[in-house]
Amino acid sequence: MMRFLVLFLFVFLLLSSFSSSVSGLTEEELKIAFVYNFLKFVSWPSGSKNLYLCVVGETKLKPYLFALQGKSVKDKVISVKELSLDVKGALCCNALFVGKLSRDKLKMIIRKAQENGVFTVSDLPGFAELGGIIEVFPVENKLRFIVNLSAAKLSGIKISSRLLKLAIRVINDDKS
Amino acid sequence: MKAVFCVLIALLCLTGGSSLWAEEIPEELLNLDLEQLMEMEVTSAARHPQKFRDAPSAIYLITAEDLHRSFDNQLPELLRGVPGVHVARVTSSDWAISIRGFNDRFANKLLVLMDGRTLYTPLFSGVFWERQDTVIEDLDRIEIIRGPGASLWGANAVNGVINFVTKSAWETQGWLSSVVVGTEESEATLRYGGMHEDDLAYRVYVKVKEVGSLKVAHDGSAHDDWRMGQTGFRLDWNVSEHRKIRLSGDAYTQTASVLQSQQDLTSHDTFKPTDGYGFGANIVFKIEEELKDRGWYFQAYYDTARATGYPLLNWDLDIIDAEFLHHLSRNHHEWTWGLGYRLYISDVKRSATYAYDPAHSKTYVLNAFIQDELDFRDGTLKFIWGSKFEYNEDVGLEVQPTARFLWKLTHNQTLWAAVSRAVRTPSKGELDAVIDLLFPPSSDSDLPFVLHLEGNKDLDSEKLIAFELGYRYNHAKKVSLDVATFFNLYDDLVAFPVPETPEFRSSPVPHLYATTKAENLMDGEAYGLEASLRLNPASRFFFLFNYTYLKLFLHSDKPTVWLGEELEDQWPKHLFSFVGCYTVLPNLHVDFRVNYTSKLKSFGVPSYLGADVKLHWYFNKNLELSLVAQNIFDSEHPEFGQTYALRTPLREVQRAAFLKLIWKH
Repeated sequence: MMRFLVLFLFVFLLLSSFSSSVSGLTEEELKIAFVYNFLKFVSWPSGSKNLYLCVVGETKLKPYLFALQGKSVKDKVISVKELSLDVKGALCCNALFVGKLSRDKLKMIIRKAQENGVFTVSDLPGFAELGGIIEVFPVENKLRFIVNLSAAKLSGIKISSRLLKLAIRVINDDKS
Repeated sequence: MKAVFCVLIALLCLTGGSSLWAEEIPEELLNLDLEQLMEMEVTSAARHPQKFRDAPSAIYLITAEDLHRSFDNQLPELLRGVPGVHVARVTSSDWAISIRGFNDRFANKLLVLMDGRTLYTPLFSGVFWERQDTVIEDLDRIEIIRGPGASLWGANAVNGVINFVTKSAWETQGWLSSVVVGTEESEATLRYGGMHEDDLAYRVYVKVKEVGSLKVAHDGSAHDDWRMGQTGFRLDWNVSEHRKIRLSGDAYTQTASVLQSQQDLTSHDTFKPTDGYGFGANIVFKIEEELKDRGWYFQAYYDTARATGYPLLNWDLDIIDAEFLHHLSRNHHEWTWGLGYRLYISDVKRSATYAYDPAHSKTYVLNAFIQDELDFRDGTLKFIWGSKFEYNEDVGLEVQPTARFLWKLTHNQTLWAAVSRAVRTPSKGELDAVIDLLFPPSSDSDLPFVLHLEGNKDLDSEKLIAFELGYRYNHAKKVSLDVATFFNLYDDLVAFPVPETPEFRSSPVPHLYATTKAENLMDGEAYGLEASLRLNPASRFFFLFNYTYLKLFLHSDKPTVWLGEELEDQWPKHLFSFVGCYTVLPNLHVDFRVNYTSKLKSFGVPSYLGADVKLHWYFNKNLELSLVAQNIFDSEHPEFGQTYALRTPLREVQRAAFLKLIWKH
């Protein structure tokens, strides 16, 4: 029986030495890398030195988002900030990661983001359909995303065509 | 203009900040471009959060992913294979679980918590493991801290702390239903999580289970099957940006078949099956506030439990607990201090042979603690000192200090060392119990023998001074190694000495009678090593090796009958565990586990090798199915012997298999 175990172990290790890839990634880490990359493909109408990345709602990604603090995207420095739920005035962010919110609040946040020219991204199912700009979701063990181009236009945000090519789906209502 | 205005506001907002610790994101990952990222695969073997990797203590984490890969359904079984922990099933519903030695059905040097609520009972300073349950899928993690956690956690955290932490209601939204059908156990769970507005989340659950009997060697069923029904809820309310309220509660009821010696002189030592009933409920309230550099919480709970219908001991126990904690960061110092109050109200019903004197008791414990964590040289050196001061009505004031030091040798290597003092206050049982143990006539004596065991109200606390040293290494997330060694010095350990010459008594039938009383009569030392190695060579593979070595030496002033030097041999010298996980297809996983446990000389329990296999299919994102075979190489084996004070025949754990279906929506 011991021999069987040793054999099993050996086969396991042998098999594992053949397959190679960067490994040990959590879903959270990968999502953050996506978010960070999206920021490179987005341009806002008015430029500033800082890039304010906000987070709203409940999400496991929060501590990971804070790890982007101080990193730079095209000579802009990222500042991460948690947004309180009772947003009354303007949304003071360039980009916003949206966590779990009630339907009403979600719609309100999306509308506000569009009005204020905020780039929105989320991993909530149905986010892009609702008017969010990018929705990230897992397919098997990898991540894919949908871009809502109409929403981006409404917000006055330009999205690079390279990003659109990589999207699994692009929502574009106004074909004009 | 709008942009400028916004920047100003944003700057103001930013100063509010957040107290959340930032996770580390590997720089390599951020440098990859989107095409490369889209080819990256996520692994299910998550790494530990930063704060655990930087802890200057022997901490082990069972993550939600690990739990998902678990081979077991019962809460205590989830601890199998954890370094430094010995899990042994004594009967179908009793477990002997301890950390770093001293294992017994009545193991008493361990603190066990669930979401900050203590699970151990003051009746014997141990845990009624069969009463502890929750929805396994709702567990966020299990933290296992080996070594004294006394400076923060208080008395009883002598050899270690086990903390079950459930997910917040935000993370358990929607329906979850799971069904287990197996040869030895069956269970069904239904949970629903929802939210109200966007600041309140909740969940409710119901769980029922039935667990089959173990086997008595050469004698068939052990008649120790049991059933349990449990329900509970949790509510998480984000009152404001920084303030949160949590309210949670559970209630359970259980019935257990018990096969226990009747302990009656006139009817001799016969084993007769009876039914025991258990009930318990708790409610926990917590309010917390977290700001950038400070925070506090207040928690209060009420916990009630009772046992009726058992042949030996029936009891009611109520616990009321309140605690306050405050922390503050200033110039590289992180100060934490707290206050706590706990009231135990116990009522133990007398049976023919077991009683507590007094039967009804009310005891309070007051405690205060302070801890300071200092960071030097950009966090590469960390020094923690602190102490707990605990006042217990029965034994007075106890001071339990600790000093811990952590050194980050390189970005992926950490070395830590600690010296601590911890105490274990005597349990109600050791203070107040009065037990008559009956030994039937044997080859040594023609007469039955009654041993009268008595608690001792003058007992002192047991004391421990522990020296610990640990090392951690992780490389590119593919390899992580955690090694800890320790040397423990114990003093004033409680044991029952061998009684003086028995006297002859003629009523009700002729028998011999002797008395013994608990005393602080042992000291001892233990040393050991624990190692854990996680390998994640490719995203499809994951291996885990855990090893535990321990040697315990006990020295008693007098010969003992119970809880004495035999405890040396109630712990296996070597414990080894291997887990291998292979992702055959993205939706099909095969996991394999082997556990080796050395022999327990005290009970004549031979060493055993347990091997389990698990197949896990994900049909779609709502439905998964797993098939588990346990102890595939072994039709049955004992794991632990009979406890002196509760004499039952040796039980054997059998080969088993179960099918588990999880549906989420």
